[in-house]
Amino acid sequence: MVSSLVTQKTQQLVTLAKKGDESALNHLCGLYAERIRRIVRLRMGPELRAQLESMDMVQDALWAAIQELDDFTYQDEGDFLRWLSSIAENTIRDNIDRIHAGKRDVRRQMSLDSVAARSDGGRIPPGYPATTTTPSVLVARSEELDRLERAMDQLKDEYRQVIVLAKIEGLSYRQIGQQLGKSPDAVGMLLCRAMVALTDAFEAL
Amino acid sequence: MDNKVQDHHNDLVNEAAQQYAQAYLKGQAPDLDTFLRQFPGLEKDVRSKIQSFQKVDSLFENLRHIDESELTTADNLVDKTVGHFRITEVIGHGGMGVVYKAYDSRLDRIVAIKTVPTHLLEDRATQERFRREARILASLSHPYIGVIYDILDEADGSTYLILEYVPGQTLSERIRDGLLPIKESLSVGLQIAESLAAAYEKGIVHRDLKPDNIKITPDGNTKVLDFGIAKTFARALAAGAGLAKEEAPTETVTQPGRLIGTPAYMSPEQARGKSTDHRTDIWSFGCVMYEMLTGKVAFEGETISDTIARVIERDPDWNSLPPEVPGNIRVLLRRCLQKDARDRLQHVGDAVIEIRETLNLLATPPPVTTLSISLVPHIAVRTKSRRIVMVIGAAIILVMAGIAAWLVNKQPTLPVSKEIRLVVLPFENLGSANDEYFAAGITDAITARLAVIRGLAVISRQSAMQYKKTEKTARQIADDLQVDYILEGTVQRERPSDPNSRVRIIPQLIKASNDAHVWAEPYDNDMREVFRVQSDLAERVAQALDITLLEPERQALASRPTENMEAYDYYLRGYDYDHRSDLESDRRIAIRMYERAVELNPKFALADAQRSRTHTVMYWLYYDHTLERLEMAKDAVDRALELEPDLPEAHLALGHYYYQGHLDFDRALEEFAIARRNLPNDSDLLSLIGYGSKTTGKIRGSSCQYQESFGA
Repeated sequence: MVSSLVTQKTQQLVTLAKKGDESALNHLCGLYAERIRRIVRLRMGPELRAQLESMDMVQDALWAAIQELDDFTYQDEGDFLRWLSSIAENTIRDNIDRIHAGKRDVRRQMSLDSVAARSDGGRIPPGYPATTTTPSVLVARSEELDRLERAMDQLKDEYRQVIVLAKIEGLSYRQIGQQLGKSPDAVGMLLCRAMVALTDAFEAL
Repeated sequence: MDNKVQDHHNDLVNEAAQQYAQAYLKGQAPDLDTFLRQFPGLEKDVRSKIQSFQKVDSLFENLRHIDESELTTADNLVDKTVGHFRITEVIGHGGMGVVYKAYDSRLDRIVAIKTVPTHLLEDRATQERFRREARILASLSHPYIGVIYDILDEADGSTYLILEYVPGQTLSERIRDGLLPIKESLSVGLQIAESLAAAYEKGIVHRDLKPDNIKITPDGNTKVLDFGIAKTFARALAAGAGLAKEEAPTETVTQPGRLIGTPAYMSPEQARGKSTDHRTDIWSFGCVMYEMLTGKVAFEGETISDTIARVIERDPDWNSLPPEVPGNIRVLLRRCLQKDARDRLQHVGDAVIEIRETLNLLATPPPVTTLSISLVPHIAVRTKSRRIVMVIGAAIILVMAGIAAWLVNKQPTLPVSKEIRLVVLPFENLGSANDEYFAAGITDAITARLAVIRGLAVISRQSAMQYKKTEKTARQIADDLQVDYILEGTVQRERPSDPNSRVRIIPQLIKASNDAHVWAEPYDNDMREVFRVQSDLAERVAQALDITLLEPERQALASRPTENMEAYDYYLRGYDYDHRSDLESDRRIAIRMYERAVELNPKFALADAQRSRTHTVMYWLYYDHTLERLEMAKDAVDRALELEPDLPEAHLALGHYYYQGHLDFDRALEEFAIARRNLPNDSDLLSLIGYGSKTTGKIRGSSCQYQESFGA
């Protein structure tokens, strides 16, 4: 269950960050950067992921997302995470496209530009987190999360998709059903088959 | 195992894991141990698969949800001084703010200080609530309630509560460390109930009772903390009996739409935002008791709204209660967790009495009997304010327990006829431990076959069961049961859990008077031959005992309940669940197994008959006392009789249906009589006829039957 304390805290941080409180921003990065990186990696699949080896890119993207906080009204934790990670993913995809287009090849240069392009007036954060305090829970499970990524790669697309929608995006069976043109029950069945297939793949690694 | 078998095995494991995953993902995960029992022989693999699945699932959870431990407390007061209190450490996050441990330099004592986050203090409603908490708590003084010492207003506008510092674990920590023994759960529950009763006397409702708010001190006492959001309902109390009337919501300091309380422990009326009274605490108390006894949260969903939906709509999983929980405590829990406050236990004082008596009883255990009848709510009838239903339920169980105890304790009487008396001891399982059910089922089938033979008095299964894995010699058993012969043996299935495996059965017949082995013969057959083996075995026993079989008996012995061995295997599993305990969950699993058997072979009348009996038992034991359940029993037995009009087990089932479903003893006796024609020596049947006749006043002729069966 989502802890109300976490919700309360995050909400507070988001409000402060919107007002320009740097320490709140840093705090948010600390809480979310690794999380977003993991989530984006899982969502992107193996091909794109290969180009996402640097944490910098995620931090840039996260920073870009936070710049857009003004457009976001905090409702709940899942919503917030979804919003953050989709902006982050878009930013990263854009950047990767640019790399492919050969327009930029210095990643750092590129990322600062992309931040500048997205943030109002191109303000570069003074308290930019050079190293984030990665949440202990994720660090403790990093090996397993790596394994999870590899296991996800082995699934067929249909399975990957439903897992991403349900377990990462946190959508309800009904919402997923609307996207995929299936009944909520069919989504439930598909998801449990997908999760057991994922478990098999995870065990085999 | 060859590849094909291995693949099949993996398919079954994955199917089971999917079944579990589906429920789990919906937030309705069944108790794992109970769930696994549906898959004899596969338990280990299914468990391991499910555990891996849970691990994978938890990885996603870690990603999506930030753990509290990842937050650093920004507004940390540690090492600061507030008034004359030096704050030393954070001890918790209370309902609204952080709780610190502090040293009171003026009175030289340790206290707890509770604060409200500064941004919340801007809110006047919150301040109001905070002060109210102080006033209320200050008026309460009870050994099981955390005391408030003072309220502190600082110049900067901050407000602090100075509370009694209670060392020890919270109840939720205690539960996380491992399941509490039942006695301990009851004694903690008793103290919580007493604290609520004391608060009730003062017109105070806790409104946020939960394991996090309850502490177990190092000396083993319980302290309930945070009577914080309680509101005085003195007005409502003064209105006397008008409590149940629609009182206008008086929570004036509550913002509209903001919930007070913790969703998982909130009463339905609280979750709906309706007005509440002391009965909301009775609900939460039920939730806490349930959690102590099962180790599981009674109502828990993935999200807050999901949890609230469960509180409002669902029943907790009663099957999770360990079998040792006394019947009256189960009933107490059900009464505490009634959705409608008017149907709920009305006074927490009743819970105090009930739990105290149970503890007294547990302190002086009744003499041990061989039957597990610990569920008998002896004391349920002692307390006065009982609902009729409960009394009837208890009385029925008492009667049954009485019969059972009598069966066990009654001194064996001398045989009343010249019949040869024989007991079939549980055949020993030499196969895999998972095939225990199979050996038990084979024993029962053999017992049933022997009951067909006239001139042979077969001791009841129940009496025989007490000699499972006994140290007693054949001679001692024969003395106990007054039998002439003992049939014992071994069963071994070549491939564990495989319905089509070869089976080795070695029976031996022993003469009690001289311990001589009269007859023994190893059978090593394909499973398809199992019925032939059973009937052959019965015939050979008759032969050895010089009993000549009549043609109808020979025919009855030759019956083949089903040709589908997989169906028969499910039947045996179901039968095993049916007889292993008094638990509702086992009955439900049994029914599922019978249903599977009938699915596999729609002409399996015996499985239908047995299914009907289990439905009837579900009704009779108040597990599901509904007309729908009775209809299920009737449908199943009708099916059985349509398939095999003479099947004695079907008439037996129909008799039970009339007897336990409609208390129609006359029709029940008619059916039992029909059953008896083909099962002349089934001692359970004889005892039923005897008991039924006694009930209907048809004593004449029944005492003999009574003795025949109960003499065992």
